[in-house]
Amino acid sequence: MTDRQAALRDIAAGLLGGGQFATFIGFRAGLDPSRPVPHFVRDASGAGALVINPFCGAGLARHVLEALEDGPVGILTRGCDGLGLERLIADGRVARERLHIVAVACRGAVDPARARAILGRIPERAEVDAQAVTLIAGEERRSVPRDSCLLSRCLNCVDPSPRLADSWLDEPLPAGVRDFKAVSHMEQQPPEARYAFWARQFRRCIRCYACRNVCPACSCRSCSLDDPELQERATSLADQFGFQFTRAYHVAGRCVACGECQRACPMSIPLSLLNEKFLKDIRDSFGIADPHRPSAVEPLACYRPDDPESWRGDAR
Amino acid sequence: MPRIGAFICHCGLNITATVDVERVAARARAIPGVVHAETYKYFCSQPGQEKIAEAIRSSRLDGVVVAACSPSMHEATFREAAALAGLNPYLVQIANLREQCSWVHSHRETATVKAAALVAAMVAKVRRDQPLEPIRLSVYPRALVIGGGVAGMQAAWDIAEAGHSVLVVEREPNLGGRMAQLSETFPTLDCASCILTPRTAEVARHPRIELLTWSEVREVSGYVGNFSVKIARRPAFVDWDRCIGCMLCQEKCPAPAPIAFEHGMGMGKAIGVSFPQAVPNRPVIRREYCRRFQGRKCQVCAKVCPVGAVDFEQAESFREEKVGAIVVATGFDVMPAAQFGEYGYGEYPDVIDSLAFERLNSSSGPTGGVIRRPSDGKIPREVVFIQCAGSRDPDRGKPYCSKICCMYTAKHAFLYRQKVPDGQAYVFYMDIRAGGKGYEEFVQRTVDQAGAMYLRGRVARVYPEDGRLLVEGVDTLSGTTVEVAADLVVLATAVLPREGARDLARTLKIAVDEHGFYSEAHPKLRPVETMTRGIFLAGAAQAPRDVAETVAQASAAAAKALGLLTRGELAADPLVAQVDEARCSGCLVCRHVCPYQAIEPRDVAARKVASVNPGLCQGCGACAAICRSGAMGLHGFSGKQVLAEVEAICL
Repeated sequence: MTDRQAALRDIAAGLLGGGQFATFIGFRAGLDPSRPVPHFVRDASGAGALVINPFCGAGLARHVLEALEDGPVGILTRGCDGLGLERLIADGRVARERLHIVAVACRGAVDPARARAILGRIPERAEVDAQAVTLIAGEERRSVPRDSCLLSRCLNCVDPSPRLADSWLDEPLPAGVRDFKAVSHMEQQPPEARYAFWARQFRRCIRCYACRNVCPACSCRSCSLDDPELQERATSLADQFGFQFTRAYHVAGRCVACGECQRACPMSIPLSLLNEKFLKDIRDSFGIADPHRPSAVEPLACYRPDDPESWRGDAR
Repeated sequence: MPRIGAFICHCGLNITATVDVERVAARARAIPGVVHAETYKYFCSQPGQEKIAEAIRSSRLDGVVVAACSPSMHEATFREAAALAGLNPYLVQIANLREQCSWVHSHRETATVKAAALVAAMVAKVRRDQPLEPIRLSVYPRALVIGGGVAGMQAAWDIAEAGHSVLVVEREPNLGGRMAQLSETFPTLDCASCILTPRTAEVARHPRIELLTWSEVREVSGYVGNFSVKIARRPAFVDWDRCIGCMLCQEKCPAPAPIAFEHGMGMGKAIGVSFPQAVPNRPVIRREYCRRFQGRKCQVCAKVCPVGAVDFEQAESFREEKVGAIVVATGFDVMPAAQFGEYGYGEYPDVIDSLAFERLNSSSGPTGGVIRRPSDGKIPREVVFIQCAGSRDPDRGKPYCSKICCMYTAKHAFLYRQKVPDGQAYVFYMDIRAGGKGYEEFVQRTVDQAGAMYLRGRVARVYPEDGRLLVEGVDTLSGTTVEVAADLVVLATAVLPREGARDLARTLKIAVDEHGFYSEAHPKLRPVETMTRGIFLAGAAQAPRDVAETVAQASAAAAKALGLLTRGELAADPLVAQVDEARCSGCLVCRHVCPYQAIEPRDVAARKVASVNPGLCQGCGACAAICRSGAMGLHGFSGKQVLAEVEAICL
């Protein structure tokens, strides 16, 4: 752990000291040990503030858009961040050659609120492995199952390491395959139950736009959700459905399944479920095994005269 | 406040029978901004158009909604009428009360309510319309004709005679196409090559026609008036500029080769031309049969060539050409043998198709015009012709009628009897379709004078017995089983589009129907145009058709191409996509979904944005639909217009 942190600080200091890079994006300590926050380091002397630990939960990819305005960027990158960067590069928003990607393998990030509830106090440290999470405060060490205290976005993660990298802090971990269990379960429900479920979820939306603001696929210069003529205010449930569907459709086929929208949502709306439904349909309709990983051919964004249009016969 | 006029058409009884047009007009008058509403029997008529023009002038209208038939019928009519009255033609919208309302509903009350909603939607749309000017496009004054058969030659000839230059690209080494393979033509029995050869020579020496044979169109980019075409010329392994056409090489070549022209009935040589009257009279080496290319010593052709034209090192070459219009005349194939197991086609040598029979019948063919059966060269005494082999057979073949088979089979039976006076022809048929000038009379002559026995029914199977072929069929008119012992069986196999037609359609970005024939823009009113402007169709590439129809259609396609070429400049609809560069993020997803390659990136203030080529854009709107930020818009169909339409319908 500390080895990785020391290596990270060295690389960041090296990049910033070389004069070519203007910013390094990572995490620094937050209000308490369990809440580190994203941080822009602007010069080599500031690299000592960088931390890396299992409480580093926020996605970093979107921040490069802001940072790149000042010059090339170095960035700490987990699997989810890496896919987000790939998305931004594929969308023409970021030039790959202006990034230095410092790759790190991630076994999952701890949800500070759930960890605190388990421990009864603020955890100081955590250790995450493939089987369990160990929460540590003072002399107390408590080992708990992963799904009891990791961020929900990390539980379905199949991309522990990024596919793009300029330097590595450790050995990459192998990628997995998404199983879409939650979507499959939802698909089994009758339409009325599904409607009731989503009505309950969307009714809670406060239109804070956090889901959009953190999304690496939502990087348009001008967003139609901001256009008062295209997007109604939240005066009815139908407006909420309209808002949520617009957001989901605008990332359909481009979502990298980083789950950052759901993590950022203050109302805990399970937005990933919507995104995953699109991904599963793309997998099933177009035979693409890993639809969340950006590729040269994106089935929802291409023209093919021989498009099979299998959905025509699919009544589901 | 806008000043909009609504004109509700009765369309005779087409609309008034189901829709209360007076109530629709009254409802329209109540819409804010509508200052004029009237009804009339036929607004498309001259007095009707004058009523619209008069209202534009007297009520100072700045928007017009015509509630009538489909915009594909009369949008242009009404736009023109408005323009004559001084209103920008793109401030005219059509509410389709006929196809989308009166024709499909029967309940008068609800149909009237719906009609009023359709008018309200168009009022909402026209309020948000911008005046637009047509886009001016230059036209490169040269045509490309793809295919050097009778269709392509006719089209090329007509265009060249009208004063424009033409490039003809033919896949085979020589001009002539299918017609060059035929013996005689129905119903006049002119010898096919006698009428084709003079036309071929005229085309070849025309000062404004350039020929590129043994060549293929590989890539087409650009748009109407400004196509850019990449043409590949296959290696002939003979320097055609040096060659004098003496054909000593063909004479001395020791390697026989089956050539497509003889359709399995005769052999050619590994080097040579397909037939003696070939134009251009220049040989090609067919690699797969040439001894030199098979790794053996030979090179006889190179040794005998008096001018040293043989060049074994020749490679495929490419050239780029600019043209303003394209005529596609790629012709047809016939259904291959593998489809007809029950007739023993492909299994027994004496079961042949009609194209093979043409070769047997041709005086320049492998038998010198004597009809000899392939197996032993005997003159057949009894010949069975089977029509609709693969046509009108939705289960195993093609559902369509191949159109030409009734007539050429009658011709075959007639010619056969002329050449074999004691022979007997039998024709199994489903129906005789002989619509055409002199066609029915010709079939009657075949029956009366040539004694052909027409049997209405299907053949169940063909099998060999004692050196002959037993044909088992049913005569459905008498209800009896028929068995004929024949020396030769001729199948009138279904007409198919040429091999590669689908690939070419993709290259040209034109549509094909379910069978692979090129689709016309409108089956009645635009029969030689495609949906891609500037590309026209001629001949059997569009549907099965005979020589006379093919030539007529080729001249029609030439006339359409000339309509473009003679203008020098043309106006294109301004209803194309346009980018709001300030909003564009440069993700270029629009470029990936564009079926017309009309979108390219453009650098603007150190970032990339999408840029639309209005000449290529067809206004389909795929880009506008996929653009998340709404930066891509379609003139005349902005997102806000469409939303306003929806709201007007819902309220």
